[in-house]
Amino acid sequence: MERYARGEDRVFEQLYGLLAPRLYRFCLRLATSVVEADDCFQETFLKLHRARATYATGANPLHWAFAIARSVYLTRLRYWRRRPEQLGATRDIAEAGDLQAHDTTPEAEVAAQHLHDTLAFELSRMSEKNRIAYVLLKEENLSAREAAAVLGTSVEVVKQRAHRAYQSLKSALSSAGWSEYGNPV
Amino acid sequence: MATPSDRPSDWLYARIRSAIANTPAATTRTRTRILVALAVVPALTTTVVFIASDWVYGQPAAGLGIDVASPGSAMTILALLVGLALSSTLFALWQARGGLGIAATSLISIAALVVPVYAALTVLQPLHSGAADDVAFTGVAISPWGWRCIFIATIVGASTLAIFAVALRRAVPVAGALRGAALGAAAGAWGGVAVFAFCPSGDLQHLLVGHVLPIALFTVLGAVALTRALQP
Repeated sequence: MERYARGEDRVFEQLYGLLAPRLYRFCLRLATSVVEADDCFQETFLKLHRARATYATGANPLHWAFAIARSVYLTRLRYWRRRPEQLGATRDIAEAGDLQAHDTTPEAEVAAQHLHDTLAFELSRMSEKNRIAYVLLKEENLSAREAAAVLGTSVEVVKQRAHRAYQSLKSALSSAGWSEYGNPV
Repeated sequence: MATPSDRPSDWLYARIRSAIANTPAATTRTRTRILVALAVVPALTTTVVFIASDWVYGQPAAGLGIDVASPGSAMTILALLVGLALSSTLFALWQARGGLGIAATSLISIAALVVPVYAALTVLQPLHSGAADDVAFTGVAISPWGWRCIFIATIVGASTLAIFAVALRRAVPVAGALRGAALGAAAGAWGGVAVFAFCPSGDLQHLLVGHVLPIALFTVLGAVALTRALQP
């Protein structure tokens, strides 16, 4: 990232290879559809490119990219809230998971898909603030301090939001007949 | 656990590559811009004070010379005010180790505390007795509303805020409004330094409206006007 920030365009492919998988997964979690996630992802890289000279040497580029992605998402959200439009059905993240495995029974695969759908639906339903706090702490394994820096808030607030998200997921799993450890009750 | 759909497609990469190839990017590092801002702002403040004071009172830094019982007190308060402006500037501009700026609570502290600290230093125990508010004392009519001071604080504050905006352009992906408020407070603090050095008034209304109020207004202005400019 430091080399790219200094203007070495030829390292972009390498940088993309390092950032893209986790950043894309983060965008999928931010957005409620794959199309929206793609747009968010593309715009994030564009902004990252335009703002590359502002990269602080030694900073974690992935956390910086997360912060930009969230900023992009919130800007788009505010834009579309002012201009609501009816969109056709799109693939959502619940459909995007591929849970095919060759060493499980069909019943287990259906159960796993149901668990996946339940979690994905509940994540998409909850507020963006709680969802992102949960994603950063539990899925991206950031520390509370790092997540607070990405979100521009305090450590306590991040923990509270993640806790609320966790409680929502636990409640949703329970309602759907799962224990909090992913086992059927 | 990553699944195939968690990876961006090749056509998405091609789209991004093409968009980036057609998008210019600045090359001046933020650190350089911050250093330039830190050099220019004090120089700008000093220049405005000297020019304005010479024009109105016929002497440089009239606020430090006219109706001052103790020159030592004047320099002490000036040093504290410069310290306030400088420290709030450094913290508001600082990118911090993560590159995402200092914590939100610190930004709130800067935005909230600059005004009361400035007021405590200059209004609670004014440096001037109020003698200069009589036109016969200096030959200059000083408005109880502090119009000249508001003008000078605006010149310095607005210029400083613009310099800060250029320094941190596209460098603040989080807490843009809070950062803007902190930068506004810091810019207002420099305006406050300028009017303190310029103005010999000891009138309470004048100090509150002409010296303290502009800092509060710049804090709000920073929060409102800078957010977009600071975002990547």
